[in-house]
Amino acid sequence: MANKAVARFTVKDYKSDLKPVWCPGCGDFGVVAGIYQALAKVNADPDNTVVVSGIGCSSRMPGYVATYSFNTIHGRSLAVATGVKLANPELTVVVASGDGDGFAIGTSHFVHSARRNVDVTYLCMDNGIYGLTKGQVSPTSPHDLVTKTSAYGNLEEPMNPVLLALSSGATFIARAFSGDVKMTSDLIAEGIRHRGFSFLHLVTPCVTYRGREQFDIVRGRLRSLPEGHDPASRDDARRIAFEDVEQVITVGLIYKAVRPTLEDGHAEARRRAAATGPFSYSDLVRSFIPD
Amino acid sequence: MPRKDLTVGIAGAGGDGVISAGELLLGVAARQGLYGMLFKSFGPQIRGGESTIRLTLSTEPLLAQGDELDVLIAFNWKDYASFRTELEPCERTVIFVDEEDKTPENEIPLPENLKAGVVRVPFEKIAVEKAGTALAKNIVAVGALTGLLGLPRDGFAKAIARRFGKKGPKVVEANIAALDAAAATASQYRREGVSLTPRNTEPLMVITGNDATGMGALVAGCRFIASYPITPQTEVMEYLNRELPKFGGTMVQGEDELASIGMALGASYAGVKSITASSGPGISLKLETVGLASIAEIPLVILNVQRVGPSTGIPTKTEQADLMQGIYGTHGDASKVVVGPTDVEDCFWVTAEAFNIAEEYQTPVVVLSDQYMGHRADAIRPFDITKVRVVDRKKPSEADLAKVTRRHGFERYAYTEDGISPMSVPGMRGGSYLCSGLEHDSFGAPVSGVGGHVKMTEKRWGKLSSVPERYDHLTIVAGDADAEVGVVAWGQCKGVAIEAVEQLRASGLKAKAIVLRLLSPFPAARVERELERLKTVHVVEVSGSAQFYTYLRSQLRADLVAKLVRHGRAGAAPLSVHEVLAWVRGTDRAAAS
Repeated sequence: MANKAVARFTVKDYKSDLKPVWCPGCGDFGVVAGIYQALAKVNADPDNTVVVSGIGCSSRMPGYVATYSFNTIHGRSLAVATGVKLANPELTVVVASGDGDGFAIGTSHFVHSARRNVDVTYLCMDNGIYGLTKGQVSPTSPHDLVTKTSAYGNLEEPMNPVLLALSSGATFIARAFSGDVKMTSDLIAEGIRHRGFSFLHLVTPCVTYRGREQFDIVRGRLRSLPEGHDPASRDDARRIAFEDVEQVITVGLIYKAVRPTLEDGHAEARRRAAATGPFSYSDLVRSFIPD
Repeated sequence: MPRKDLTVGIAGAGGDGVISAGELLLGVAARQGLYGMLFKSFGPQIRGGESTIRLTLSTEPLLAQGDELDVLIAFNWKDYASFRTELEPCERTVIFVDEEDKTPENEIPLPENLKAGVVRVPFEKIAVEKAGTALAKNIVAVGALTGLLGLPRDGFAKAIARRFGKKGPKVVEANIAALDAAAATASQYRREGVSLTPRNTEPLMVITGNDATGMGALVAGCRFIASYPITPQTEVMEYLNRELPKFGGTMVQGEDELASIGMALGASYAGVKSITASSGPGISLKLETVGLASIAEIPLVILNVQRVGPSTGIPTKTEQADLMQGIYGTHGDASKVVVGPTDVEDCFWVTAEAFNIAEEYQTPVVVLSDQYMGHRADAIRPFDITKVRVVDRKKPSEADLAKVTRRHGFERYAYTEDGISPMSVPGMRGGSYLCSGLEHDSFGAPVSGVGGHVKMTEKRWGKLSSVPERYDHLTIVAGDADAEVGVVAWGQCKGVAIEAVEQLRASGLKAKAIVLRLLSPFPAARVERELERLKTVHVVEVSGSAQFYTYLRSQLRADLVAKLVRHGRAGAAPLSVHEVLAWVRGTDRAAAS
């Protein structure tokens, strides 16, 4: 191998000049810092990295990360990201999303992206509220939460993103508190390194519509993974997944598995097809002339 | 004088082999150089229900299926009855029915004057006696047609040998015996002049519109499709599923329509020519993403194989009522291009051009095909692949990108003379930018001011202003330059419009047909020039609310609008030449009085 200088990227290489629209004290600031650090840790080439999002406070993320950045439409971030990754599997693809984008309007894409094991890193900044539209109930809002669209309290059961990820076939599931930038960035970096669908459940307080005290409330519930937790064990992962996040929020790498990615599958399809070739456009026409 | 074309209808129950009889007839005819159109029609059953075919064979390239049946074969009257309006016999029609059919005389679904001419043929009996199974009824029907129409027998014998070869020589011989017995029985009903001698002797290709669409995409450089199964589109994704991987491409069956167009958009954003295909209900779901492709200026082809709507409508039947959705669908002033193929062959060429427009103008392009073209199989000249033009999007040069100094500093939406800005794709050094559905400045940074939106809207529409001139070949004009009567059509109505104009001209009228394949942006200059000297302009379409007529009214000069006459009707069936002629002649009479 020839000695080839490998570029070293630092946090500043990922910072764009746009100023975030988030409220002062927003939990999303911890995530954007975590993304910068994680990209630097894995030394992601900004020109070979795509950050994709949908709509919501968290989905403003691509504007603040100076890679190829694509802020799409509500709920469709994973669909677009899947197309990007299949078109060019060499790219590092990170998806930024929230609980409304990912678990209301875009739920089916989450389930199917996990099932397909497309190699993208999916960050869900879960604040349990619709922030961009100024304070409506979300699919992860706790029971009885009073919001502008749950005036008499949230009468629906909240969704469980980690359990959904596990049952959908995600091959990397981790949870972090966005107030802990170190852990957030470490787990994002690990998710990017993982080949397959990586889900990061990022507990990201909304100080404006859930109150300043949210940071303290979340901190009070944080737990490390239990002694001896084995990320390769579905049973261990299931125990964490069934915990009630209104009582305890376990953070760390919950589950990790190895299986072929969506891109691997398509490469295999191309190999099988090529084995019956070679092919030309004229063959396509000829195949329609009756013999 | 020998006839140039013949039209045959066959109706039967599931298991009668109606469809395979049609395919066998068309395949053998094409092998001998005969042109043809095979239209299949099914009942609502998923498999095995009653079905019909309408097959036209011709010594010349066909514009439209024959209105009048030369032959009608009904395996039984009950199944025929449910398709009667699609296979209406006339006085010259030879009508064969299986002698096994026991329908009482007064329940036969035919007008009284035609009942006397019905010929009872022992289809099932010949099948059982010669081939040993009633399943060979369709071979018997094919045999009857070869006898009646004087089609070359040897071609069919060869095709039967190929089809049944695996089952051994006995089965082949038995089926050929059934073919010959039926031919002998039917030949006594042969009429003067009813035979076809191909002038062309080169074998033709037999292809459906949906397969032609898939091939057109592939040859234009498409390497990615994401779609969700829906009638009558599914064959397009099935074709590309088989063929794309051979050429290094990818087909994904999305979890829904939204995912499918999202994936296709993502793939194109990343530099791979992409398509998503659906039909009306699915297109309704995709429209939000069409707007994203428009504002983010990403090439994307959206295929709509139209069916009868609204809502679920009639999934297996044809209509041209998604025109307005194609042109105006999605919120906001979304710039896009809409094109429509006009027949099976055109599905290939127009789809290829759709990719070229999408790439050249960095825009979503809606292709409006329909069930009548998508599901019809035509025998036509093989596509000349060397004639396919392939256009790629304008990209920034390395030198341009080397000049970029700040992060997200590539001016992705730079204002240029023609409104088209070089587009970087991920992986290009220095080309990174923020792509989004938010209104933006020339660098992609979000803006919420008034001026920025006005300017960008003008850029996105302005770049499309040269489409009509550059794609002038998409407008088809046939007939007299000094015509007084015009017929204007789009899509599947091309054939009946031109055929009707030919018949009007044969009767001494100066007439011409104008057929639009570029629907939006509207080719105003060209169409106005063509309409200038006409006195009356008949607008024909398969839309009950006259969408095409309404659209033309919104696009044409007032003095030309005054010449337009609204026709058209709701779908389920394509227009016939007779319908168009009746409309044109009716109006002429009214104008003269």
